[in-house]
Amino acid sequence: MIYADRLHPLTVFLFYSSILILTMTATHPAALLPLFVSAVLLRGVQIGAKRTLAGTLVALLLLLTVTAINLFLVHRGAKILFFLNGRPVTLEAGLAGLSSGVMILTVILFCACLSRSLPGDRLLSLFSRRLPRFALLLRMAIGFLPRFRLRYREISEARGALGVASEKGMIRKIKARLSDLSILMTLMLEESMDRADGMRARGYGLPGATRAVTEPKSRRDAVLAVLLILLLVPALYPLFSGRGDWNWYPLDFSALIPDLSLALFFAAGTAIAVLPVILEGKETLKWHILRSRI
Amino acid sequence: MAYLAVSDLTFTYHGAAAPVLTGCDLSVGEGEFLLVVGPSGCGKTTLLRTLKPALAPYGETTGTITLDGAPLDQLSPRDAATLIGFVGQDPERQTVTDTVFAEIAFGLESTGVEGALIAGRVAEAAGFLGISHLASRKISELSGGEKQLVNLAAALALRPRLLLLDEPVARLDPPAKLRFLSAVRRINEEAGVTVILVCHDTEELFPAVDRVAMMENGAIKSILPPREFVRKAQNGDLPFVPTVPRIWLLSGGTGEPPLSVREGRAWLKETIRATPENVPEKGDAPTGKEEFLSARYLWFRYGRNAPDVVANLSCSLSAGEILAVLGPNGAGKTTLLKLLAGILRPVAGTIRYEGKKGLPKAGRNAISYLPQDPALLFASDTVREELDEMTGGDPDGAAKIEKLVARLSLGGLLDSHPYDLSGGEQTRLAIAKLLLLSPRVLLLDEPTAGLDPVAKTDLSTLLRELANEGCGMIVATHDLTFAAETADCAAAFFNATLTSPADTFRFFSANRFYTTQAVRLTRDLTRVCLTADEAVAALRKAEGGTP
Repeated sequence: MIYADRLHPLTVFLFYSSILILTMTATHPAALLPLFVSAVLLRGVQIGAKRTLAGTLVALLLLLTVTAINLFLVHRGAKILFFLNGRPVTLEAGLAGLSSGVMILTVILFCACLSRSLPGDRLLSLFSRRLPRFALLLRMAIGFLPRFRLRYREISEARGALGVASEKGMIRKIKARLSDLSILMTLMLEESMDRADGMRARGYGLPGATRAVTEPKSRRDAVLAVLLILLLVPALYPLFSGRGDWNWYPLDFSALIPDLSLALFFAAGTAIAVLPVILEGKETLKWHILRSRI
Repeated sequence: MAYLAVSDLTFTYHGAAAPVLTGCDLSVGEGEFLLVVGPSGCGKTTLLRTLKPALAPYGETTGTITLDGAPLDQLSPRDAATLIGFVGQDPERQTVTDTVFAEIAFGLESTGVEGALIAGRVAEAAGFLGISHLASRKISELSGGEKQLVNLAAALALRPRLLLLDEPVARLDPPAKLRFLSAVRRINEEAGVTVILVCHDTEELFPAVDRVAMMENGAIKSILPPREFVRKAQNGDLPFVPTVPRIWLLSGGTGEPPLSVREGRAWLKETIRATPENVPEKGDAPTGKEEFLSARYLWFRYGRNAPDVVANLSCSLSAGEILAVLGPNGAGKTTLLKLLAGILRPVAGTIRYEGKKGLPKAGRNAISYLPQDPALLFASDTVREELDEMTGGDPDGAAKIEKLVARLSLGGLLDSHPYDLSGGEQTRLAIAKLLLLSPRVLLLDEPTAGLDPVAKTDLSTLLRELANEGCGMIVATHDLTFAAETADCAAAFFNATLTSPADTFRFFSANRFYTTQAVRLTRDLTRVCLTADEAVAALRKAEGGTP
């Protein structure tokens, strides 16, 4: 995420949304597996091998659950493993479940990577140009929440210390909580009047409001965006042509290895996912070397 | 030609019977620094808000206001937003967004500054006020002083020519206050921005401002340079004269009135030409009184891995004693009070009450806690209901309330809404609520925040009376003068613990910098005096003694 810090949030966002779309639409194991591997590698580069491997158990549990659900719900397929309650449990159903599990895991991993590469405020700045009112409202809400919590705690502490609330009876206690809440509402209304003054004093509501440009685009962004588009066209081809569709029922092992042209299309998709790994990995390596020199 | 000219301004709030402003005349030159003082409710805030079109209160206005020669109401909304900056009292309530950068940029975005230029304008304002390092911080994580500087930067980024400040430092501790005021002074001196500042605490301001305006009953009574103001000060003005010139005035000083401690010491040396009297040590130390609330080796932190807020702290209180806990905001004073009130539980250490381990149950005849914002205690629509709430079921309740209402002069306010009371009145009402519980111990958190000097003196008197009736008190405050006037003992909160409490006189006379203006003035020159009144009495006596 050190490299991503130097990119415009839009570039980072486009990369991750492309990767996520590719992952969610990948049905062919030959398309999915490389994406999964790059997701693990990217996470490893971001937070270190140790912390990535620490998630193995949770990942295995997730895989096992999804596989098991599919295994016992779907009874299609030719390779019957055994019978349960008189119903066949098939290898195909197991593999299909495993593949869905890997897909879900990959999506989760990439989402985790995204939130590190693009923390909340950078993601927000992306929308603030297009949806200024919404962005301001969100910013106000974010700023407001901790105050709301703090105020409620202060009120209930101060009222609690009065001793009025601790007197006998459930109803009295509920009444006391309700009056705490009513104080909170009154205070918050008072405060929002002051806040509205603060906004008006600084010209809120005048026509022609602008947004601060805090993230200038660089040449690096342009290069990466062009690269992304060049890779995205072939990467999406299997999806739209239907050539990348994969069917587990019945199982055909020979189709697991795609022919050369399909492999090239898949490679384009893999390249989009591998690019962040290379860029971040280079950055991580650079810092390791720098530190060892100091 | 005056930059801002107000003539015969009258203002009546919508639906109110009497006007708040009754014929105000004011003329402020370009680049002037004007201080406005006056008792609570005299119309200072209304006047200030009338000068900023977007904040002008709703009601009936007569008279004229001109800015730079043109009537104020002809100013375009955009110009009104940028040319006139405004910062109010409560640092918490003025911020709009979540981060410092977004906050300072808010006004620039609203007034349509080109997007690419905004970062530069934010940087300029933040850099000038020395808060550049806060740019990407969350507003909710800042201290009150930092928030107020952000509010100032937000106004400054719009490049105002007139800055209106409504008690901006009332809720800040002394270091934050000085930082804010020196920033305002720089904006005035280095950028030539005209400043109108409403402020109760005039101590550091008299040497800095060009003129002082005294407001009374909705009109400007006088508007004079600070030294003239001191010389012509009458009874009603006295509370607003800072300690040093007040001592000069009341002890019948001659020549130019001194404004700063340095000038004051020069004058005092000239006047008394006497060897310093030996400081009579007041018989104090361990008073031998029975301590009925004590804490031993308290530790507290807000989370397992959070820093210690209270570490190895011990203190004690006896009946009728007032202990002042001094220190900057955020030092842990509030946490200590909450521990003693039983709101928070210490991680380690013991609290004893009346010789027994543990705290009494919250309620009657026990320990009562006054939060910094008294409004937190108000749940009803009228003052009368607020008081009735505390006596539910007590047959003598009505009589008790009647006595308290008379004592705290709440009589005329019984049917008002608690939120419509002034700061001093709110504090009195909150104390009245607590007194209805007949507490043995009162814990008060910054009770002077936002009070005018008259209300402060009243509060001090009230607390002394309550102490004489046997109520023990711990007052957390950063107001040194208030502590010196009110408390028996004082201790400083520093590095998560309390320095050992000393008799107030010892505490303040031993300190050189962290002490009251009167001590700074009189140290080494004459008998050390804690307050202006003491100093005046001492000087009069000295004059009487030496022919």
